[in-house]
This record gives sequence, C-alpha cells and structure tokens, in this order.
Amino acid sequence: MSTGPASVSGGARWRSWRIVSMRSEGSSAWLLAPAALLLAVCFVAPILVVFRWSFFADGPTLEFYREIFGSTLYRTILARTLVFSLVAAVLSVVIGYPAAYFLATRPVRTRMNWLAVVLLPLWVSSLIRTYSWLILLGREGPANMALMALGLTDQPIQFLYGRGIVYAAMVQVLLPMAVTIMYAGMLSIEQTFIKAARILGASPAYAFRKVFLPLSASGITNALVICFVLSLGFFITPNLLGGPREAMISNMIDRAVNESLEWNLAAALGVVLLLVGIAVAGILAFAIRLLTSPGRMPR
Amino acid sequence: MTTIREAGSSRMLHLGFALILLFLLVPLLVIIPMSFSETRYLAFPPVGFSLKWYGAFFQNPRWIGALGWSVGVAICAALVAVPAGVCAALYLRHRSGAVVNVVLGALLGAQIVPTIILALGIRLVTAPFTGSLPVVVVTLAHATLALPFVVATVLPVLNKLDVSVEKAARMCGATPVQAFRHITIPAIRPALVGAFVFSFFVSFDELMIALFTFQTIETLPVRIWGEVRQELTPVIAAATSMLIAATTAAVIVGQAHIVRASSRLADK
Repeated sequence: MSTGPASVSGGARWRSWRIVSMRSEGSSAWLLAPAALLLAVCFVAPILVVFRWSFFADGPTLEFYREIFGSTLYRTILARTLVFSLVAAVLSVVIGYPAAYFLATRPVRTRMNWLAVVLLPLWVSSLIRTYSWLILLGREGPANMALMALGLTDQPIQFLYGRGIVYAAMVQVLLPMAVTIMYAGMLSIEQTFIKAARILGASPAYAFRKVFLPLSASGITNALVICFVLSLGFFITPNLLGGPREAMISNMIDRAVNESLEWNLAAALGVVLLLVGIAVAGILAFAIRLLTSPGRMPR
Repeated sequence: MTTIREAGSSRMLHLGFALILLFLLVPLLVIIPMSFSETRYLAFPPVGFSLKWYGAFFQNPRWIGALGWSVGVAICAALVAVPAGVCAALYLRHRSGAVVNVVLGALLGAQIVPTIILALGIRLVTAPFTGSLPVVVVTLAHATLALPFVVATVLPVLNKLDVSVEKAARMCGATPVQAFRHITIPAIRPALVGAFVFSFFVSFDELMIALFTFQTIETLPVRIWGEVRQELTPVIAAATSMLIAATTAAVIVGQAHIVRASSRLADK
C-alpha cells in the first residue's frame, strides 16, 4: 500500500486502514478449502482406500503382494508395462521435440494457433482416438483400401492387435502433452544466446547442439517423466488395439475388479503400479538431471 | 545470416511438423465421412450419403440416456470445479515461489496419477451403494480432475488484472464480496467461460471413473466403450463424429475466450 491516501480526512483514513487489511483478507487460506476438500475426497482418500485393501483382507496380510511377485504372469506384465511406457515416452519426446521447436520459433500469433491445433486431440477422449485407429487400420479400413488401390498389396495387411499399433496409438495420445511441455520450456530460452553463439562463429547445427539443446533439457526431462507416468496407466489402448500379449497392468486391474472379483488383488496391483511409477519417474528424472548437469554443459 | 543450409533445415522442420499434424489428426478426420455411409458396416470410401446412423443414434433410448447422463454430470462437475478453481486461483494470485509450486503440484497430481487407481479406490468405497451417491461421487471426482485446468486458465488472467480497480471499489465502500462480484468477475468473465468449457469436456470424455463406479448408469464414453468391444457399427461412428465436432467447436470457443481474456487485459 505505497499509495495510501495519507493526506485526506479522518473518514478516509479509516477507509485506507480497511484497505490495508484487504491484503490479509484476500490471501486468507480458506480460499484453498474447496480445492483441498475435493482433492482430499477424490484423490487422497481413494489412494488410501486402495492401500488399505491391498494390505488387509481379514487381517493385515501381504499375500496379495506375494501372489503378484510370485506369479510369472504378473511379473511379465509388470515388466511389459514398464517397457511399453518407456518406449512410448521416449518416442513421444523424440517425435515431439522438432514440433515443439517449430512452435517455439514461430511468431507469437501463428504460434498460438498452431499450438491450439496440436492440443485439439488432447480434448477428444482417448477412447475415441483409439477407436479411430481401429477404424483406420481395420481389414477393410481406409488404410488397407488405399494400399490395395495403389497396388502396393493385394491382401489386407493385419495392422491391428500387435505391438506396433499399440505404440503408435500410445504416442498419438501422448504427443500433444509432450509437445506442449517441451514448447513451454523452450519459450524461456533466450534467443540472444543462440545469436551470440552464431556471432562467435558456431554453425547453426553447432549452436543448436551446444546451446539450445542443453537449455531445453529440463523440458525434455519433464516431458519424458510425465509421458512415462501417464503411459503406466494406459488401459484403453492395449485393450482395444493389442492382443493378450499386449495387456498392461491396468488391464489386469480391470480383470481383477470386473471379472474375477479379486478386489484385494486389484488394490495390490494398483499400489504396485503407483509405487513403481513414482520410483521409476524419480530415477529417470535424477538420471537425466545428472547427465545434463552444469558440469557437463559446454563451457 | 540465413544460409542455404538453414533454409533447408527450416523446410525439413515444416515438413516434419506437417507430418506430425497428419499423424495427430487424420485418424480422427477419417471417421467423419464414414459415418455418413449408407452401408450397414463401416465402409471406406463411404457409399452414398445418408443420415440414417445419426437418426439411429437419436432414436435409441440407450444412446440418448447415455448422452443425458454425460451432459448432466459434466455440467455439475464444471459447476463445482470452476468456483473451487477460481478460489484456489485467488489464493495463488500475486504469489510466487514454493507456495504456488506446491498447490499446482497437488492439483496436477490427480491428473498424473493413473486414473484407474482413483477409479479403483472410488469403486471399493461406493460398491455397496446404489442410487444418487455414485453419481455425486463421480461428479466430484470429475470436478477434481478439471481443477488444474480451471486454475491454469484463470490464474494468468487474474495476475494480469490491475489490482487498483478492485482497490478503488473497496475505497468507495464496497465489501470484498461486492468488489469481487462487480469488478473482478466481469473482468475475468471470458476466462471463466473458457474454464467452464474445458471442465465440461474433462468430465464429458472421462471413461475410467464412470466405468468403475456406475453399475446401472451409462455415460456416453461408457456406452461407446461397451459397443466398441462388441461390434463396430456405423452408429458408433456417428456418435464419435458428433463428439469430435462438438469438442472441436467447444475448444475453439474456449480458446477464443481465453485469448480475448488475456488480450483485453493486456490492452489496458
């Protein structure tokens, strides 16, 4: 309140006093209460419930965890979930990086419009996006029809129910997220640094590699970790586009809840998914930060 | 300083970006012409032009019922998410550093944790109940998922808003509530509309929580999920085409409102 009306009469002074108190009113913590309540009821509580069900049947027990880690099936699916998520996250970042770079180097107005186009699929539910692959690549779908019309194949190609299509669909779902995160990071990079490198004689490629790339590393890290964690929970894509050999943990949770009615087991699978996700994301973030730490930056 | 090599790499960049857009959009755009086909199966190229699958959608009480539930839950979820998110944004306004990071991180947590875990936890609690409780819980859960979008939409606009106008209102004797109602809300109204639209669609598209929690009720995604796994009829193509069109329209409206909200304040 640097511009308080100090020179005015008594009544005004009393008002200015009230304005001084406005800041503390405006900042009071009760404004966070509705959001905090929602988070407590719909985010924290469900997770706690899942934990409880995973450790308690008739009494405290670890049998559901023993069941998971003692079974080759679950170990395979756990490993597969990790591999799928890692591959999908890396592909999304690698494919998304040039797109983010393209967006970040456009003039402001074009940039906003193109960003909205890239983000559009994010608002169409991943169910519909996965369904569209099912249609596009079906035996008599547009892709096969086009290939046959062009004479590139005389038999419809079996695109669906394999690993390749699951990866493609996962990347398509993740890509807008990856692009946006890396783009946001790139916007904060000072263009003058690149100019300086160029003036000092660096080729465009060298300036990009030695200046721009390291500066965009934190965006890459964030995108990679977030895409990885999001992939861990993928459920629709492997279910619709993959065969049994593409099932991921979420599909096992679904089966345990809705088919075999083993709710404790489902809860334990959920806890494993959550903890593995947190652990691997942490390790990933740490490892990347180590690799791109200032000590390794160009001097 | 543009060299031939730079021009070349820039052309590569354009091409790459175009390819990525194709990859993102083509699968979605392909459905729409197929939904107008006259055939009883999904044909490409579409045969003839017919609206009968749209007719079939609107004459089927199950599809209409699912649409009704989806719209109802989504409106309620947005009506919860927007006020809660605006309150949180008011708290974060003009703050920076650790507090903001902690609050935003907590809000984003619900988006990043696999939804199936939340869905499972909600299912385990609500399983014994039927009636209105599951509906309320799903609505609140959807509102929670929408919160970060509301805050992300409203907070930048609030931060741009000139505080002195609100201060002037307070000096003229307005209570904090009056100042908020008559000054702040009109100033950020476009952002509120944008936040409402985005919250609506977060809920409208959500499958996992609804699928796990509802036992007899079907929302549109739940219904599509059930149908897609049975057979691929053109009715689903019609339903999804309408969803894609509605989402696109809403995003354009929401985006326009947000752009207007920030440019209006920037002009001052």
